[in-house]
Amino acid sequence: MHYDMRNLRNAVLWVGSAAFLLPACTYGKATAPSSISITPAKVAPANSCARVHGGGAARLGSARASSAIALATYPRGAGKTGTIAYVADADEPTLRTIDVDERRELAATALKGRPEQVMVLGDGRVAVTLRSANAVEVLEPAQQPSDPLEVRCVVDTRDEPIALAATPDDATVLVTSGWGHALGAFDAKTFAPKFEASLARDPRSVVVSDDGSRAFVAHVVEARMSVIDLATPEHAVRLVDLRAKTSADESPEAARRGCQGFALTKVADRAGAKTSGMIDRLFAPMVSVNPGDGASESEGYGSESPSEVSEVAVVDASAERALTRLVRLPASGTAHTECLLPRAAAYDDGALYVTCLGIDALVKLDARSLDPSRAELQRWNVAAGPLGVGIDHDGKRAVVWSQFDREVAFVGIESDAPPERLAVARQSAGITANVALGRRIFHQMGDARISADGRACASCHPDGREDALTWSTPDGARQTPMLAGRIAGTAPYGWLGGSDKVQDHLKKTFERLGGEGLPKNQLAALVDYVASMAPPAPRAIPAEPARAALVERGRALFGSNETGCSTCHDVSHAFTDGLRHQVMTQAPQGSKSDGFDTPSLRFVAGTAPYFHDGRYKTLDDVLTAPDHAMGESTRLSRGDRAAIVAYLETL
Amino acid sequence: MRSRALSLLFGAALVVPATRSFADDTPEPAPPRVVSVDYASIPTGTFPPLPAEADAPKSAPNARVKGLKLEPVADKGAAKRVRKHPSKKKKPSHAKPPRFVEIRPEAPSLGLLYVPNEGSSEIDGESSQRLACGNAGDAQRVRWERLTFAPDGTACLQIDDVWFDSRSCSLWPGSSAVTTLKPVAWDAGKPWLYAVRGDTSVTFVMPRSNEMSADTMVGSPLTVRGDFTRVTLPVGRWGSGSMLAALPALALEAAPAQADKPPVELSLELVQTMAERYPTLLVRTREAVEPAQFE
Repeated sequence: MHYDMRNLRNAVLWVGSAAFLLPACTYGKATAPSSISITPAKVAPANSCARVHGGGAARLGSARASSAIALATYPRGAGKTGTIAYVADADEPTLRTIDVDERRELAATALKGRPEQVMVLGDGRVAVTLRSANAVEVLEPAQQPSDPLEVRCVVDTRDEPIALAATPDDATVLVTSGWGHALGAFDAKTFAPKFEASLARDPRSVVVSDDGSRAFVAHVVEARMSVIDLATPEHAVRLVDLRAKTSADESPEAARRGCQGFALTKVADRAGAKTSGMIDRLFAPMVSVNPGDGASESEGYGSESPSEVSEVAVVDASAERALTRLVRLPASGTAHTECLLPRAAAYDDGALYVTCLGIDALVKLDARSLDPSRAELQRWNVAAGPLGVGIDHDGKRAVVWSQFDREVAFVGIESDAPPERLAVARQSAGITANVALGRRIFHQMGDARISADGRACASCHPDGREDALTWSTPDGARQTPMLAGRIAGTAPYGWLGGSDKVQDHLKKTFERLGGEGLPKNQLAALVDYVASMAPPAPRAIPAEPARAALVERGRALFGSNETGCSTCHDVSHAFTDGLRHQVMTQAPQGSKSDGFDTPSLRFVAGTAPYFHDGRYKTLDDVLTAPDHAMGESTRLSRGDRAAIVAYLETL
Repeated sequence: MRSRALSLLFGAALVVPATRSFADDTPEPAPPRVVSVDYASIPTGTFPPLPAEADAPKSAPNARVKGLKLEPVADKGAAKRVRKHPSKKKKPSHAKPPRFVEIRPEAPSLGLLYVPNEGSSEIDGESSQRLACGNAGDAQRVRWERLTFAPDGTACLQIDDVWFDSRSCSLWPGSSAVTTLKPVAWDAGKPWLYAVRGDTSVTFVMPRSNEMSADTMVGSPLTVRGDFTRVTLPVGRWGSGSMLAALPALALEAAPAQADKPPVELSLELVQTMAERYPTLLVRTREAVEPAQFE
């Protein structure tokens, strides 16, 4: 970990050369700003993350967790304050400043990389996670909100920084790293690293307990939440099981699985108890999934229709225990209107606000409910791709950022009126129109062309990756494969290698899901989007010499004739030979397959479980299991296996 | 988690409202009516524990049971036997007690009668109870619960524990207690849901429901059904409880179910974290889309 100032000058030059005037635009009823130029952030006068000058915008309320949008206040003069929103525009390396009161864009600040989430720090500085750059950029607002922010520093993080949170004393900033499977803690003033905790896969949103002693982290897959001790030197990590059951007598093994755990929020503070009576409640929007038992075949994916039900797990922060255990309360709506792709959440005054991809809505839920997803109070349609929400308590409004349509919605949370909308640059330079169309299709819920039960592509492939589930299918149990970064050069497609082209495999998948299929141009757009999905950054060879040596030894073993790994997982062809192989020592009874397509091993370390039927939980399990016929891995020593696993973790 | 389903009638079908396919044509369910109940405002009260079987009186007390009566049940088998032997003279000895009697209220009331079983979490009461006479052994417990309504809107649940002595085929009086319940939900201005809380539980009284299910993370729920339904949900910190029921109507008094009218879905939700002094309590009702959902 170090301060990454070395490339800042180059980054600024690059951004400066790429600066362009965004066209004024209108869309629907949304109002459009006047042209805003993307201005390179000014470089800090010293190699410091600290605040340089006072004044400017300050944090709104006590929001200490990030989203794709963050609210702030600034002095308007005459004793009045205004409200602005910082928007992390993930399609461009840009942080946008929006005047919430006047519904117009004020400024666009160039960043070192594409932003994921943004948070206003206690002293008014702004921290932005740069997911693909593996960094957090810290900026300071100018005196006037219409001026671009000034960069203070760019700090390296573990792979794919996603979400931020601040401790109640504003002394520490926490950063989750999605692909890095870690929580990093930084000094809020200097951004010097404090500690790091390893987490389960795919961590996303993070919030801190009221007393600052623990952090809570949502995970996209596996229906669990991490609890990290912040106050103890060990920084122990505990997992809270969020899996729901459909009957109280169900065994844990039979309990439903979970996915789409992107968001996490909590009752604002203890003062909130005065009005709501609620203290120490966490809310984890997610989807409760029944993928089938795997042992039996099904007509589609999963053996129960529908296999996915929206849920907001309510967790007792003190007890570290989920209070929502049964998915059995009456629904608020029908399946195709449920929030099955929740992405952001915020709490205010007894209500929970959740943005939902696919149905493109902001839903207001009764936070007092055992499962707030079953207690919908209100919903507002917003533009496509709502990824972030900020609540202005005093202004009684929510501000939503819709990435796909590039719009900000201003929602009166005590009003039935449709939201006011503000379009920013309609067409981003960072994404083609075809890819943008494909992205919308990929996330669209209730599209009968995709599936009969309303599932979207993103239901099983959150963020274009995989759901860590093994589904019952007509061919038997099948583990969901990762898409992002795994398409190019990995034909044929499907576990049985039945399609030479992605288009053909998608058609078969839609058919299996009961979908009617897409027209050719939209199918092409979807393929373009899938091919464009950002894969995780390749993991660097560890700097620590012993670890680096282990990786090198693993590389050699992987390529050796003795193990035979690379015979099929061809290093020069995306770790696949494009052929089918019988990988079982004995084909299962009634097996319809004479072999399975060799899957690519790109990013394999982050895609457990393994094997076509997900039977192995870890890479070491794969290497030691006697019931497959892959290479000679079962003869390896423990040390050699550790070396191969270390190598695989770098792919 | 210790939890227990009171009725499996719903079973997995309880998720039906949440699991409708997007492609089907069933109408969109109406939005639910949600009432957030101020838990602290629910009055505290207790329900008398069941009298121990060992406390059964050994002999007939002087007092008599008020409000209940015993009616002999015609013994059709005996009548047939008499017809078979018409020439036989009746013995002039004392009349034999009937083989069965029915216990029922002397006047119509909103109530339920049952013979309690220790440890039972689900009790089906009736407006009358048929019991056998002539058996040896100690007197048997019979509980009579009846609901009355006060002008101030509260309801009174009177619980009378009486003893049925099979040998003498008579009712003996026991203890009696009254608990006041507060209305917490109304329909068309009339209360239909009442509540009273104890230290570790909260009890609801509502219209009779034949289809219901309850689960709690702490303890086991208790349901008693007769002309009305009484449900007791244990409450504990870092716990939650929920109850689902299909009610024929949101009315406690004389509300015959209409076959063509869908039932009302009722859900009660209790949630309490360790830090919270009281749980939050939500009452949600919604007209079911179609009665078949609960079959």
